Amino acid sequence: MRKFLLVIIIVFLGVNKSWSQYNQGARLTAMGNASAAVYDIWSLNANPAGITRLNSPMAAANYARYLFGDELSEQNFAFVLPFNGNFAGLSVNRYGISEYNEIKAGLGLAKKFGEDLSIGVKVNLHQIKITNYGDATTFSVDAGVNYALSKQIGLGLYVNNPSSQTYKSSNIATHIPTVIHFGATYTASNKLLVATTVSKDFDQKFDVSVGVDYRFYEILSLRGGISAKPFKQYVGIGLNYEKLVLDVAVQSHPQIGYTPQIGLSYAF
Amino acid sequence: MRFRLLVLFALLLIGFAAKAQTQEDQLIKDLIESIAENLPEDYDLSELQDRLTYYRKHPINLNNTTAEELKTLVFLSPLQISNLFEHIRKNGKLIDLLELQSIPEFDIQTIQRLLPFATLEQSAMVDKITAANLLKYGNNDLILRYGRVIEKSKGYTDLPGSKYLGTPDRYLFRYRYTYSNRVSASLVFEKDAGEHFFRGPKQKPFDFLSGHIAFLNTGRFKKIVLGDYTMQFGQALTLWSGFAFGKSPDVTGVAKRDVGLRPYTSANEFAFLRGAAMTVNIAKNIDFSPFVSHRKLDASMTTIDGVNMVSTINETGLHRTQSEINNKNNLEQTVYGGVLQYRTSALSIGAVAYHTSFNRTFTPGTGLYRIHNFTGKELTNVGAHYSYTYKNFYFFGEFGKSLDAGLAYVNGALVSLSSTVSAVLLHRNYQKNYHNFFNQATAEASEAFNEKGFYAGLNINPSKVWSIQVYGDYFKFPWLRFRVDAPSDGYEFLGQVTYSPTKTFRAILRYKTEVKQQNTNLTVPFNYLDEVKRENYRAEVKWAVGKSFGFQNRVEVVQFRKGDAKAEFGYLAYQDVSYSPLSSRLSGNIRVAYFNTASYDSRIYAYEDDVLYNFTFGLYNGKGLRGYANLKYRLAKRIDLWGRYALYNYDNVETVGSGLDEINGKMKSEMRIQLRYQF
Repeated sequence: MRKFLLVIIIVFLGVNKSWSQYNQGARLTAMGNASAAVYDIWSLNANPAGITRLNSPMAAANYARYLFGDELSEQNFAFVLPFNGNFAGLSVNRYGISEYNEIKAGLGLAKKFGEDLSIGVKVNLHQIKITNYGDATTFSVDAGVNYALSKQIGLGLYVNNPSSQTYKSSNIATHIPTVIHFGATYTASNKLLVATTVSKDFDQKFDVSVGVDYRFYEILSLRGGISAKPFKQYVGIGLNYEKLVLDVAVQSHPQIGYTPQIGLSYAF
Repeated sequence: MRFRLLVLFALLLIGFAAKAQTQEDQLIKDLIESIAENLPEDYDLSELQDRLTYYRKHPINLNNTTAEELKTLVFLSPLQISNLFEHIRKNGKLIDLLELQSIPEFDIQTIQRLLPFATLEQSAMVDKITAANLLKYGNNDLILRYGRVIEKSKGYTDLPGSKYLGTPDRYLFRYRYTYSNRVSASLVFEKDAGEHFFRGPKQKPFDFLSGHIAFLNTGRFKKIVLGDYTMQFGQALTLWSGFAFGKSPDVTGVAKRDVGLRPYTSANEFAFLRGAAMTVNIAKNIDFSPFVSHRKLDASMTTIDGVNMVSTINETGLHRTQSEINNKNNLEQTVYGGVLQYRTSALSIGAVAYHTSFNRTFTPGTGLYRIHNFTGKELTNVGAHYSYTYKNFYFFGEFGKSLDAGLAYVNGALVSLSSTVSAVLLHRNYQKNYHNFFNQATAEASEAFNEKGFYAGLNINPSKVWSIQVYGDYFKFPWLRFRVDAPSDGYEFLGQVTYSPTKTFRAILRYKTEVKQQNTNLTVPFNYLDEVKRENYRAEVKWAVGKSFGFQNRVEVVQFRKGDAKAEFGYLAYQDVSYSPLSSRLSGNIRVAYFNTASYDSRIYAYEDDVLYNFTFGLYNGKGLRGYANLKYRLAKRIDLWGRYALYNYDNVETVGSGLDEINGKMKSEMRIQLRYQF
């Protein structure tokens, strides 16, 4: 019965609250997902053009736990490989419980055009599986661009699913949202990044988010963010030790409560 | 005194011949205006204006000041103050005011604001208290104000029942004396519209009378105040009388600027203590402030089992009708206690304890939401507050406890993230049975109890030209509230961008949204909660033409929506023109505004210019035109005269206002004149 309720909740949230964004890793989540103009390995799940600041191959894993359910969680994996000014990325995301789960796996390709401009595209495969009910698959495309207006100000724009792909199966009412995100970053100093993103889902109202990443010490970063619809608050810390990065974030949602997550990445 | 009056009249007569003086300080006016723009609608800034006017004449010596003194300049953030002391501690006394630029957090705007009120020279002021000095070097400031609504409202007609017993005239008399930074005294009389002027019931002889005498900086006795005073400590959670800044586009406002004991000079009839108080330095870095207060309050009573009990304390200070007069002064409040403070440049710790007692018993009254309210006659409050600066972090907080009742605490940090970005975080938790009569802590509700919340704000000044403020606040009310029959929550978000490319041009865009819950308007067996959402959009430009003319335009739109009902809108647009030539004795300003709001829910407030020391936040509700004109004329060197005329002209209405304030017709107009004599 509890599992059944859980499924209801997940489906309800998935359909109505637009579970449009897959987890963007603990760093970007702690910044309120104000990620449109931020460079990070997890930009793969946001603006694919944002993977173009990596200097070496990098792998990352992330785990988020939803505290209102016993086993509802999200797992993500990402890998980015730079080659000759091009960047190839792979991400795999799974969300749900054993009776219900969604998978989004994608291949991204991004390219730098000079120092200021980069463009990225990603192709995703979506799959929903519900035990004793069936499954459905489809694909979608994400595309984005990042532009450095000055040394301090960066702009980013990306679109999820511009062609409005839906699941082929008539059994599944859920759809892949079409969302436009526009964002800016302000690099106030080499320690501080302020980011904001405005998102418009075609079926929803505007969402605005603001986030801060503050490198408190050489190895320690403090992060925080808010987003407007629904009103969510985020905090997080990052530990940066040589090639290894550990990020922790907590999201607070007025109805769902706290969602903690942890991420680990390694630069080769 | 008679001689002085003669001089006054003589000057009035020969005023036209007197030499033109420089303009009344436009600077303070601008500063107050910019602070007011960032405040909710019910603040009384006259005390602040008073302070600034004083410091303009007697600038603060930055090399010989205290954090408490600097906090009275509300535009300085606690972090800036702390950094200034740290800078002086490390590098020795400031040699030049330009050195301020090298102190972390001191941006151009702050320095520009600070300079008129700061100096580095030890003033050569005589400050020994002798009769001769008091007479010769004292500053006297006398204000006489008269105003009234021109149309006759229903309350003044011959009604059989409740009606206004006095005249519609308003009078204010305010005399203030200061001598160096050693002696201060004031006397205030006030009569509100509808009140008796002289020797009415429960009046001796005026409706409101306030005054104080204070001796400052006498050896160990830093402050001694007899009469009316305010006490402001910590984060306003345990002991704070008077107004406190809170959530506002000045995102750092949630870190309170506690200024301790201060004489009271305002005409607000509620927000003060009456008796005696002092601050004594009892050891190095340790101050002790004992105080005692006894005063009468206005209270509404209910009779329970034949006993007269207090249901509500009335804060308006209005005594116009028989029932308001009956409620007047029928509650006696006695407060005594003390505050102990330890302060160094980086660390400040304080402890507060005091006892409040009444001559009548409080009852929580009807309504489940009031069940946790204060009952009985006696209350003891204790609290502890702290602030600590570590590098670019300023931590602050306070814990308050009402004995035998609830606990409350608030903690926060102000962080200078880079030279252009600062952040504020504030966490608060006020229990539903936290009882305190002197509580002004940062809260969403008007009083800080029954609330939990987390506030985060950013202040970004990427260049001289741009300035961005953002804050978000999430709050929860664990117990019921007025018109909210269940625990509820909500949030508030504000974003503001200011663009000021030149000294004479400024543009502001502001967006604010607030979502709360409230009982449904539908008639149902059990009220359920509907979401109430209010959004404000504001655009404003301000510019100057030449040296004498200033213009300001604003457009504001409010969207209000409750539950599934259709959203309603309110609009306001206005044009301000000000004329203040440098060499003329005459200056003035006008506003013409058009407003159209669907109902009171989508009303709009805007700060309005007024005569000196009077503050008006215009309420724009309904549909119509609003206009006002202010004139100021410098009669003589020491005598200024203000005049104000303001009117509402509503569209398509038969009456204006409601209840006893109802006026036949579609106009409501008001005039005010004020005279200030400084000698």
